[in-house]
Amino acid sequence: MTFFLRFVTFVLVAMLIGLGLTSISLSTGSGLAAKRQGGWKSWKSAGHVKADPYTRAYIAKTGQLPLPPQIAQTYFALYDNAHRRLHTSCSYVVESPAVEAKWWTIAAYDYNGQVFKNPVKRYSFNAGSAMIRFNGGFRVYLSQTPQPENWLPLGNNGTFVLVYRLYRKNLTDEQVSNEDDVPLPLIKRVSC
Amino acid sequence: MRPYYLTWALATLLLALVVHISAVLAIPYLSENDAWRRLLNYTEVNQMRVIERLDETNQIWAFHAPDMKYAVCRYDVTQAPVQVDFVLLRGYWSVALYDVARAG
Repeated sequence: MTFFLRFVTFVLVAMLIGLGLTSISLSTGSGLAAKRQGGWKSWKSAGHVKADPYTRAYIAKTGQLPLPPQIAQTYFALYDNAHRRLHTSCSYVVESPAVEAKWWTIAAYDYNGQVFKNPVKRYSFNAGSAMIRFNGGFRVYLSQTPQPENWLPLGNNGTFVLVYRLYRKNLTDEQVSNEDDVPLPLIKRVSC
Repeated sequence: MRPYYLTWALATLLLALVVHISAVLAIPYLSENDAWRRLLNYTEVNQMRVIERLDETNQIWAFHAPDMKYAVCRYDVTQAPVQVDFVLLRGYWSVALYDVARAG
C-alpha cells in the first residue's frame, strides 16, 4: 500500500512539474526559444518551415499568425530599459533612431495579444502614420492620458506587451539569425 | 539523503522531463486556440475572405498587426491545385502560405 501511494504521488508530482515547466516555457515572457536583443525578444523561427518545437508550441498555444522571419521581423518587449515590467498605469516614451526598413509598425497589446479599447481607435503607429523627427527617427508616447506627438493609448489591464515589426527586403535564413545589429527602439519610463 | 529517496527523486525528474517534452510536441496538434481553429468560423474552404481592419471588437489572432489588412484562404490541394490571383497594390504587401500541422 505504501508503495502504491508513493507511486501515485510520484506520477502526480512528475506531471505537475512537467506541465508547469511547459506552461512557463511557453509564456510570452519566456525567452527559451526567443532571442534577446536590447531588451526585445524575437522568436526567430516563428512562421518558418524549420520552426523549433518550442516556437511551434508557443505560436499554436497563443493563437498567432506570424509572417515568416524572412519578410517581417517581430520584436516583443515586456520590460522597459531598466528592466521593469511594462505596466498600463505608467507612461513611457519609445525612442528610435532612423529606421532602415521598407515599413515598420509599433503596437501595444495586453497579455493575451489583444489591442486596447480607446476612444480615438488608435492601436499602432507605422512608417506612414507616425510623426517622424528631423533625424529620421521617431518618438512614441504610451499612456492612458493624451500626449502630444505620437500618442499610443494604453488600457487599464495591468501589464502589457509592446510589439515592433520591421518589414524589410527579403532576408536569407543566415541574415535572419545574424541580425543583431538592427537598432531597436529604447523604452523609457517617464512616470507612474 | 538515503539512496531510496534519491531514486524516487531522479525518477520524478525523468518522468517530468518526458511529460514536458511530450506536451511541447503535442500542443501544435491539440491546441484549440491556434490561428487555424480561430479561422474556422470566418472562412470557407478555397474561398478568399477579407478580414476587416482590426479594432478592439474584431481580434481574430493574438498580436494581430493592427495596421495591416488581411485576406485569408483555407486552401485544400488534395483534389486539385488552387490558383490565387492578386491585384498588386501600391505600398507594402506580402503573401505567406501555412501548413496546418506546421502552423508554427
